[in-house]
Amino acid sequence: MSTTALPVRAAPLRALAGTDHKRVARNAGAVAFVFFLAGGVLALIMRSQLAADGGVVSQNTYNQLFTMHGSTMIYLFVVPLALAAGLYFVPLQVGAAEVAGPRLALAGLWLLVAGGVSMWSGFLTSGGAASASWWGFDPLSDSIHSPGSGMELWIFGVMMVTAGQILWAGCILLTALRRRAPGMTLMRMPVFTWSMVVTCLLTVFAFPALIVALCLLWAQRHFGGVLTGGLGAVDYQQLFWFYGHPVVYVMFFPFVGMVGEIVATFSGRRFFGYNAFIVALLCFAGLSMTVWAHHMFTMGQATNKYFSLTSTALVVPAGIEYLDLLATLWGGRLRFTTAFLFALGFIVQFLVGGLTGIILASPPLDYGLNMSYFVVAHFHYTIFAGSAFGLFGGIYYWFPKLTGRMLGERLGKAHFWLMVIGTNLTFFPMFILGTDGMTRRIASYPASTGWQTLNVLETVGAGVIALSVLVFLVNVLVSLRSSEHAGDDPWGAQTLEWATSSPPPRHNFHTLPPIRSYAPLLDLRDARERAMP
Amino acid sequence: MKRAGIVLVAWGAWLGMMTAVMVPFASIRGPFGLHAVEPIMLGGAAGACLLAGVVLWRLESRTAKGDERPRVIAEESLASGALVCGLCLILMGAGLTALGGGGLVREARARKREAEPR
Repeated sequence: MSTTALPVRAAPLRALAGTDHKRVARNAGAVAFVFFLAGGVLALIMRSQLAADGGVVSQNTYNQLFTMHGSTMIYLFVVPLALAAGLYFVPLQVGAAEVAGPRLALAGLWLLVAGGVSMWSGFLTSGGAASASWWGFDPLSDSIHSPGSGMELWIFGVMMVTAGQILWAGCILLTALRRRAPGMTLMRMPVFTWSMVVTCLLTVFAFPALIVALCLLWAQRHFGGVLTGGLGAVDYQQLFWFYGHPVVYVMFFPFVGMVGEIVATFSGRRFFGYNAFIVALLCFAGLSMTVWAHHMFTMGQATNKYFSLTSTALVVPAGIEYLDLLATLWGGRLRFTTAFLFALGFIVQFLVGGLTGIILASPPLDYGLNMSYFVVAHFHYTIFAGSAFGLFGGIYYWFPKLTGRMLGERLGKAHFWLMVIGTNLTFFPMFILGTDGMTRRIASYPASTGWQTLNVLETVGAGVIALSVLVFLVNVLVSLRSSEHAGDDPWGAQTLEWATSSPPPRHNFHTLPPIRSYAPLLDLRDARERAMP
Repeated sequence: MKRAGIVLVAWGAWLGMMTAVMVPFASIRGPFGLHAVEPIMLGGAAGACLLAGVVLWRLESRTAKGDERPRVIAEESLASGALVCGLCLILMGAGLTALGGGGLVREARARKREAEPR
């Protein structure tokens, strides 16, 4: 299908209102990264408080800090960045000239900005920001226990951000399903595009539950009686976790896809077990919609047996995916670039998060560990030690395509090793503290518990993570000032985005190579090799 | 593009099957029984996904019958920004309206209570 463009307005206007999916995704990524830095600062203050065993901030301020840290990292950083990556690369990977619904994608960006500002503006109100955790459970979040407008701003902010994410997911899903280039069949879509398809399915069909839950919460705060009859507050939790568990996978699948692309490229091999991987992804995503109430095992108000069964069943598709990733590495000509190291970091560290998840999927064990630091360690291993490593792998891998410049390898490797040390130093001791009985969300603890040494160690680790992020920012600035051009395909990659210029032109492609598999560029190289005498 | 709807239909069917698996757990009950909200939410998502798949399938069959017009691509859209601003204002306006309306009812009730002989 041919395309024609409407006339272009002035550059400043284009920066704010440009509908090019690449510009929208870049802006969204930048906004999300600013929120990541802000959320990271909150984490450092919290860690200082726990290392000093209280005294840095008050209990109420500490409540606001962990609420806004969790909310920022989930609603404003990982999910938006995961979807922004899809918004940028899915049209390129399927050979489309544009994303489906570019205006809706732009609206999603502004909803992210408006929602983020709304959530953070709570700090400017007299009562402070929201302090009922990132899930905002009733009655903790009602007008008695969370008075003031900080909570209101949080509710509106989260609603706006979530609405924007649903819009983005719809655009990406329709692009992958309806805007593919000739020859790009469903079973020729790259692994990352498939991971975005399942991510968007989860977003479109699970995220509306959060908006409903927040509307009910708002009504409960002002009029009461909404979450008090019947199961009441438990129904809020059911609605929240119907969103709250799939969102964990929205923060996982895109990074599995990124790691899949990186592993295949830097092994110089085709992705092993492509068909099995896609089927496993679809089953995994479906199962992840059916496990939400394992967060409610200890409440006695959920069908524990069913949710324990489905939660444990997740290991089957997860195992297939891990097998495919490892088998792709097996026998490959490995190139240990920074992107590849981050991908390996993802594979190893996510495994720790995944295996400890099996422990928490068992109700008898969960009764002992729920609300302890063991849970905090588990989800930080999945989301930070796992997904954030996948994300940085993706940034190092795709940075040349985004900017036309290479990120420095020496600084990149320093970033990687600092982050590995910092991450494990911060989050591994939490397993020990959790099994020793340290509960989450406490601002201080008795000296007799002997927890301070491990807490100091964790705080040192958090500082090392901050240092690694600083190294990354320096690397980005140095690389952007470099005059050396990366070229169209500096890695010898396999998928369609590397067949166009770096950065890609407005309509993505001037010409497309023939598409006969999920790795068209590898097909071209193979054909060229076969043709050589 | 053919067969795009099949992804949604297949995934919706998978969710539907998982909802069906959930229902027998009601008879087991044990310490905790089945809660209606659980199959309603999962079944609702399954139904919505199936419906979206069928709509997409229908759409494809119509487009397949020779829609080869050039696609017009917008370079920018101020209207999208205005839409978001409007949505924010609507949310705030709806909140204020609900608060005001609720307040009026509350005041009317209080007046009635005061007027009643004690």
